Amino acid sequence: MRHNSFISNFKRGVRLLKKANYSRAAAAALFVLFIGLVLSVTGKIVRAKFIGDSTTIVDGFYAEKKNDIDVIVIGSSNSFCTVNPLVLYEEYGIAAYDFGSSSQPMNISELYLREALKRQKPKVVALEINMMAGDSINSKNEAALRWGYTDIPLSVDKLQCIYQSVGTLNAEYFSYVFPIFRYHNRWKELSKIDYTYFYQDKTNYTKGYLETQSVAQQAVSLSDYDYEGEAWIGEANIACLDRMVKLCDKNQVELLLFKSPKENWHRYETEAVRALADERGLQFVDYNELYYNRELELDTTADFRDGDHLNDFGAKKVTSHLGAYLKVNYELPDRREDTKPNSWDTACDYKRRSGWQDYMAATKAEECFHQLLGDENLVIIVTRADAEKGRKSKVQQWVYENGKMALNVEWKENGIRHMKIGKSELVLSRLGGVYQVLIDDENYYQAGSRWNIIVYDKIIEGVAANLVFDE
Amino acid sequence: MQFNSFEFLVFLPIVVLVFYVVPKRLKQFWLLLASYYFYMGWNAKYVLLILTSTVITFLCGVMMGRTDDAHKKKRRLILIACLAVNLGILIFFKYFYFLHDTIGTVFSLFGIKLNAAGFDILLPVGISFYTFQALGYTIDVYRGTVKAEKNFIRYALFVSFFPQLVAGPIERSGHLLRQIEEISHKKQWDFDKVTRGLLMMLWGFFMKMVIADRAAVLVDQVFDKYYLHNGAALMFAGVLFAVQIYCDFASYSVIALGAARILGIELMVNFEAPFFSVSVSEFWRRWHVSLSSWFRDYLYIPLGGNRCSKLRKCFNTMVTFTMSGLWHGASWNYVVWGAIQGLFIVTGDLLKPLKTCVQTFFDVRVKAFGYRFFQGLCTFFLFVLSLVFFRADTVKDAWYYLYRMVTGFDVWSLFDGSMYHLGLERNEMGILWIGILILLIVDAYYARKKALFDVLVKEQPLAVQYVIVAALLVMIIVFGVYGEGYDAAQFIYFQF
Repeated sequence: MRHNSFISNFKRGVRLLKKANYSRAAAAALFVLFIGLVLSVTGKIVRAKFIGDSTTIVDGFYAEKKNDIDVIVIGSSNSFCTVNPLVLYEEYGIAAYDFGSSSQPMNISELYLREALKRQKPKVVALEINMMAGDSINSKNEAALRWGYTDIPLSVDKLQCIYQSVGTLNAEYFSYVFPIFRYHNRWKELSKIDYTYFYQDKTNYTKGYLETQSVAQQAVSLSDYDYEGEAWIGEANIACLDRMVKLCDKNQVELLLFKSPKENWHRYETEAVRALADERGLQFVDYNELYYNRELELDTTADFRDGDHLNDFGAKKVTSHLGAYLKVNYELPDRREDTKPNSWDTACDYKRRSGWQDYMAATKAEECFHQLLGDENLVIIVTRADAEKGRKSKVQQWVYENGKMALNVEWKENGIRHMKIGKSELVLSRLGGVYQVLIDDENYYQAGSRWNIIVYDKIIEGVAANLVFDE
Repeated sequence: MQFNSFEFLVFLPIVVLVFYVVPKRLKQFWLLLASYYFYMGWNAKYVLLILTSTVITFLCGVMMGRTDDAHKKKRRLILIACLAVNLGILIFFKYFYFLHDTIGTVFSLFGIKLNAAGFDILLPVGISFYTFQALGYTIDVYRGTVKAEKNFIRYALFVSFFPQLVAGPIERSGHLLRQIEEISHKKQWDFDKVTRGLLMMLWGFFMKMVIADRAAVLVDQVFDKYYLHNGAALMFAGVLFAVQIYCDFASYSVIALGAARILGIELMVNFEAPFFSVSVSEFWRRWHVSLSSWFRDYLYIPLGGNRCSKLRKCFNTMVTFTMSGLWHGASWNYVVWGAIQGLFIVTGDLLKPLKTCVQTFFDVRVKAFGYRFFQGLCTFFLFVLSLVFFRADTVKDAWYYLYRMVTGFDVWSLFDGSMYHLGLERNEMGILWIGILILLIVDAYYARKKALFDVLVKEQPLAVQYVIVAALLVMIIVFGVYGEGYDAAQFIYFQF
């Protein structure tokens, strides 16, 4: 009887639905879509952006071409402060990306692996295992969870992973699913980047690596490696590792475990991880062990940013070693031999252009200018200010693009000139006797010298140098 | 569980879904189950209290229903017993400490000490609301205005219907019981009604989370350390407290109305744009209508109402409002607050001839907007002043608050940016003003057309409806005061 009632109710519902006005249904669908869109955009604006950290790393990963990466490095900050993909590429032609997040618990590493394999077919996944012997996946370190989850797109895997971290379906759980509920209070502190970031180019030119040349104030101590103790590796972390092994097997990807050099890492931890690796037939490279055995040279006074992280100098040494190891043990193509320039070529070019350039050493404006003229990706904005006795200085400005003069202004009265350079907007102005060279609303003009040469680089989409010369 | 909690956001859709899926004869039982589960979200033990009240008033109703007019005395006895037991429970759980302290103070004058150690009474949520609703039913049955309900499930649902269980509106048996009865045989699903219900809930959440809880930040800061602030800040906090308490309480009623409407049940409108009132007596006809009309029907009129001598009418008014004050809280400041409302109305009544004389003498156009606006402003400020007694911890604090407000009033501090240092910085204050402006528009609409937010929205073209809903939703989610950094404030009226 009751069963019949349910069926009749259901049938009646279906009849009602059929009778329902189609335009109403369409309006309702449109409404849901509209609300979804509004909330999605609002969420993207108010959510915290971990620029230089997980946001840049994760968004950069999704901006990569599909099936283009050969080695993916996963793990906590120890991973992306240790392996520099550009060094791997320049020295060994290995196309790698650091896909990690700070203090990343093991279950989030597993999520990152799942996400990575949805878009890429790497030959090797290198897992930095700092967190194996670290916090349990249930430790609820909020910062680590926010870094790990905020920028990963919504998926069933992500929902399951959040559930592992939070342990229940509550308000906290949904604040990870929809970050707007956690970050809505940021509305008071939003800046321009919050509104523009979500439609910006997300290319990560360091390929996930965190560049830093800062050096730890005190020499890092790696001498207690031999201390005795007992390693603690939680069951949940081991279970995560097992699932990652299975996933890699299924996708025919080699899983390599490695440990970056750091303070307070001991032989007993190395041995504990090695035992796990051996049981599963995995390779494990521990750079603390290699340092201790003098197989890796590190300067503890210069190669570390702090006790846990390497800086660019240390990372280069470890990456070189890792590159050699990868080349010997795995079949990795030399991507420097690609027929067309790839994104690692672009990244290396970007890096080269962002650093020191020969023209910066010039002592005279003319010398500098001639060195610059050959590069068609540069826009040169030259200002000459000639002080005349008893009169105001005479100012003339030139803009050179593709080796040719694109603009020539001799200022006699107040005025504004503007032009597009690369993706930026250049404005030259004289207002109230004050000169400005504005690139994307920021003034770069340096008064006081006879010559001011501003170098805009179309590759790095910004000012590469701002030089002054008296002659 | 609170309305602005994650639990409720999960609870309501489940209740609604199951409600529309189960056969008609099970719908009432499902809602009863849901209502008891809802109540147990606060304190599972106190479900026994509501059950006790329900059983007693149900049995009294049935017994009174069986007695005819020839046994009026018996009916009267049943009513008195029912009132005594229910009010006894209410007094014990709500007023025990108040009475203990008051009697203790009197006894201490004679050197006698009272000691109630060993008691640890926690105020059951919503006890004043459901007790009054159940008693209203009992009195209606006694008077013969409604028939005694013979179905216990139906009656229990009437007392515990979850949308209005813990903070009203206090429904009348004639209105709600009939609708509950119809659930078992009438079609409940109505798309238009459901969307209107959702709109009302949206509006309620806006009032609560964007306006009330934001104003509360400033109000709490100023009232907690009122002795540090000048008169202008105290006045400003008083005004914002009026806004806060209105939005807080009205939002609960609006959400309740919306949630009930989704289930096909219409609850009464509890707040009829009270800040658009031009006199204190009108204010009380628009503010917490379900409580005011309860006191009117079950206390004021039985006392003699206004069909008696002027002195008696004044007495009736004072008693009614003092009791209303006491209903709001077990403390002398609530009693004084209630008495002040009575005093305002009595004074207004007594001075009416004088007012008429002045109006005639100066040829005041009483219907002119300017004059009505002035009256509205006076009414609002009288309410603000009285609220100091409502919000202050003690009567003494309230007097000192008012004293500082008058003696230390620095008008310039309203304009020199000092107001941004009272807990809400410039941006927050901006959002609060926008919220209040939207509130005024919605209330002005009600004052003009006697129609609520849902009608206001539904009157607009479809695209505008979408924009309004999206804008409110975004405002609630982004500007709402919730989550970490803020403690989701309790609905103020829960423990009254």
